[in-house]
Order: sequence, then C-alpha cells, then structure tokens
Amino acid sequence: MKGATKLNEQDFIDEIKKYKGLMFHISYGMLYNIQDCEDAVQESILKAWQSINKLNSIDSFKPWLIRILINTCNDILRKNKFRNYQQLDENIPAVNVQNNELHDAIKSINPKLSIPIILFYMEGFTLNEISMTLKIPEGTVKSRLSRAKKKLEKILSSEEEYYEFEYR
Amino acid sequence: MNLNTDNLLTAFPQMPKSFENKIDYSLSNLNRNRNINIKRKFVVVFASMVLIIFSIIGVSEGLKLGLLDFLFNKNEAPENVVELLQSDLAYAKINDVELTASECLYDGATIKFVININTKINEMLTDVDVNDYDSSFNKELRDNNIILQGGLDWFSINDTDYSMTNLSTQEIIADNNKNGSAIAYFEIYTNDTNINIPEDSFSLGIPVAQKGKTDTMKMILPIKVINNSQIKELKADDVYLEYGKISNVYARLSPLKTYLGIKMEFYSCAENEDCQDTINAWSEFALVDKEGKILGGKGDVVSSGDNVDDKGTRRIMLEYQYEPLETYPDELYIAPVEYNGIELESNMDREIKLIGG
Repeated sequence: MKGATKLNEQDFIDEIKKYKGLMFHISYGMLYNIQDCEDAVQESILKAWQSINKLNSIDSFKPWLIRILINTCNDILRKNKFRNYQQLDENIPAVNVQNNELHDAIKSINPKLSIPIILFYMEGFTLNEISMTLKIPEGTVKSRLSRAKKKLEKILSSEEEYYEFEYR
Repeated sequence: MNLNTDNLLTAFPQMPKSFENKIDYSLSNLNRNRNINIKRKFVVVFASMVLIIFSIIGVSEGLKLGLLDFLFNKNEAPENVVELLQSDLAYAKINDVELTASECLYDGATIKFVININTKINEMLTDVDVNDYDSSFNKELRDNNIILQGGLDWFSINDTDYSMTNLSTQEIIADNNKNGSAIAYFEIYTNDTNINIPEDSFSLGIPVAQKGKTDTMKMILPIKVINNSQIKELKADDVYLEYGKISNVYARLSPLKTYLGIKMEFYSCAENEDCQDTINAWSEFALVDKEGKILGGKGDVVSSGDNVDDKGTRRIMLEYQYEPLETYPDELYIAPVEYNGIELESNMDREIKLIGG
C-alpha cells in the first residue's frame, strides 16, 4: 500500500456513515427502488470492507466507495433485467418526491448520464472528482454532463418546464 | 430554473429510515462474511470458431498473490478450502503477453480461478491502470489481441461451449509485486441445468485472445474433482399442501458456498390467499438451524422461474447461493426469510427439514 493510511474497523464505520446520503442518492439514481438500494448499499459495504486492504489512501475512500456502489448497482440492474420471474408491483413501495417531472426525467436517462449529474449538481463533486470516481477522463465527464443536460432539457421542455444548467 | 442541489433534492425521495437501518445493520455485521461476493451476469451469446492452442505446463514463477489471498484475509483460509486448491494449471504466451492460470478451487458447483497477466510494461500497475480502458496496460492487451480483460461471455467444458452463467463474476486488480502485471480473478457457476458437468476431472476452456476476425483462442484449465468431507448434499421430503406442493428442496453445502433450491407447484392459486401467502413467503429463503438462526447471510438468486401451464398449474423454481458455513449444525432446515426493517428473520412456521448428507 503506497503512503497508505490504513483504516481500522471504526475508521471504516465512521467513513461509511459520512456518506449515507450520498450512497442513497447514487443508488436511488440508478435503481429507483428502495429495496434494491438497500441491497446495493449492504453489498457495497461488505465488498468495501472485504477489500479495504486494496485502498491506497484514506483520501481515496469516497471515490472508491462510490465506485464500488455504482458497480454493485450495475450488477443489480443486470440481474433485474434478466431475472425471469416478475416482481409484483405492490411489493415495490411508492416513493414521494416533490418534483415528479424532474424525478421522471432523470429516471428516463441512462445512468451513465444521470450519475455525473447527481455527482456534479447535487453532491458538489468537481469534474476531477467525478473523473476519479468513474475512472473516466475529465473530458468524458464534461461531455456526459453536457449530453445529460441536453436530454433533461429536452424532456423537461416537453413538460413545459425550463431548466437552466450552468457549470459551477 | 437552475438545476442545483436544492432543486435536485426535490426530485429525490427522503432517505428512508429502512435505508439507514440497512447501513447500520451492515456495519454491525462487517466480519460475518468473508468471501468476496460480486454478482455479475453475462448473457452474451457468442458465435465464433474456437481454436484450442494451449497446453498444460507447470508454472508458478513469480506469483505472490494467489486465489486464497483474494478470497480471505491473510492466512485465514479455512483448511477445508485449502484442501480444494489446485495449482499450476496452464500457461500461454501470446505475443508479448504471458497468461498464467495459477490456481483454482472447485466444489462441484462453482469454479474459482486466478489468471496472472504479465505484460512488457516496465512499471508497477495501479488499479486505475487495469480498469481504465485507455491505460497503457489495456492498450498493450488490445495490441496483443488479448480479450480476457473484457470479461468472459462464454466458457467450455470438455469442448462443449456454454454461455456464461448467472452469478459468474470477474475482477482484475494490479499485481503490486511485479512490473506490468495484473491478476484476474474469475468465478464460474457450473451447476446449471443446461450444463453437462462431468462427475470426474474435466477441461475448462476460457476465451483469452482473438485470432483473426472470427476465431478465438482458448486457454484450457484441467479441473480435478477433489473429494472433500465438507461437501454435502441434503434433500427434503416433498411438502403437500391443499393447493399444491413444495418439492425438489435441496441444499448443497461446500467450503466455498451454500446452494439452496426449491420448486413449488400450485394447482389453483389465482384466488387462493393461502397459496399467495405461500408464494410470497417463499420468495426468499435461507438455511437455518433448529432455532431458526439464519446461516450463511443473505442469499443471491442463482436462477428462478415462474410459469403457468395450459392447465393452470403454476410452477415456481428458485435457487439461491449463500456464504459457506464454518460449521454444520446437526439439524438443518430451509425456511422462508424476510427483512423486518432491521435484519433478516426466518419464518419457522413454514420450515422444511433437510435430510441426508
């Protein structure tokens, strides 16, 4: 481990607790099902703890954790996509949001585009932090943000809403 | 209207208490499960000619990190897992890239194996290098026609090809002991009804490199079936209900995993509340001891099916995988489980006793 600050169990627990909200927004922004979000976060925490020795530095904890969570959500999406049996709709609890139009618009775009939106506009990640988290070049982050904004604007304009996006 | 934190928050629900509870529950159970448990599903159907070009030779040069290091904390691999370990499986050199299948574990249902990838890059790789498509490492692999790093879409057993099965996984990490090297860990679930798995030794083929436009080079790993006292098969008597039956209940215990399955058949279910309750209850189940204590953590769905035939009979089949048990209690049961908001709990009103093993 290079220049590592090794995390003990309590450090790990403290770090995870810092990112509860972030983990919820990321998992919900990919899965849109609370039960799946709970499964994803549980599995991600377990994976993170089991591979904590691979973490190079405590400074990398946040992007590392979020990357694990995103990969886990992707696994769940794949699993749900190909799962044979149908989940009963009544088993999926309804969620309450204030802005259904924006909720549905974000839900309708590919997570590859919506995740940068959530990280950048909602969670205050910098372009560099998103690049580190998603392991894609900054230029790709910018282009995904741009594509996501255009898509959202298009969807929302058809809802007679107008959203203005700006880079911070 | 600006898109900012406040506006985006209005598009998301409040974090539910159950989500926070799940985090707290996970944090309080960090050391319960040891195995890496990454679910990934490959369903890409392949259509390419296959060339088998590799031979088996003994190799072990330079490998520091093995399969057990990946699966367990250092020196904590249980003895019965070590008994299943097979080494020095295969080696191949494709242009500038060396591939070494150094170790595997096989319990009759899952093959876990590790392939060391050694390139000519003269610097230590990082995990960013191995995961970044544009890194010099991945470019080197592509330049040498290596396809292993992209994930396995298929595999072969004794020359019969199969699409990758559910819950098969892959992870590549940098090898911090050798310049230009990475280690790929794979897990293939072979206990699928579509797979003809031999009872004795067999050859596992995995696609590792592209040859021309349509041909694929396979690496052949000789897999032995090792007898292990901890591998057990348990079954249960069919349970007859007024409206159907629960049958084909089985548990397969091994040092690598616990596998459970049930089949339910219902003759007239659509308006029968008891029947619906039974289906809902058994949508998730686990191995439990006689007190109802859940063994093996939370399960992953291996396969499932739900169909109704012309006569209206509904058949539901479910198979789950769980973490292996460290010790086997005298009496084992399969019981429905449900998350009660804090933790999984078993329903011992519906338990089914397992026999045999």
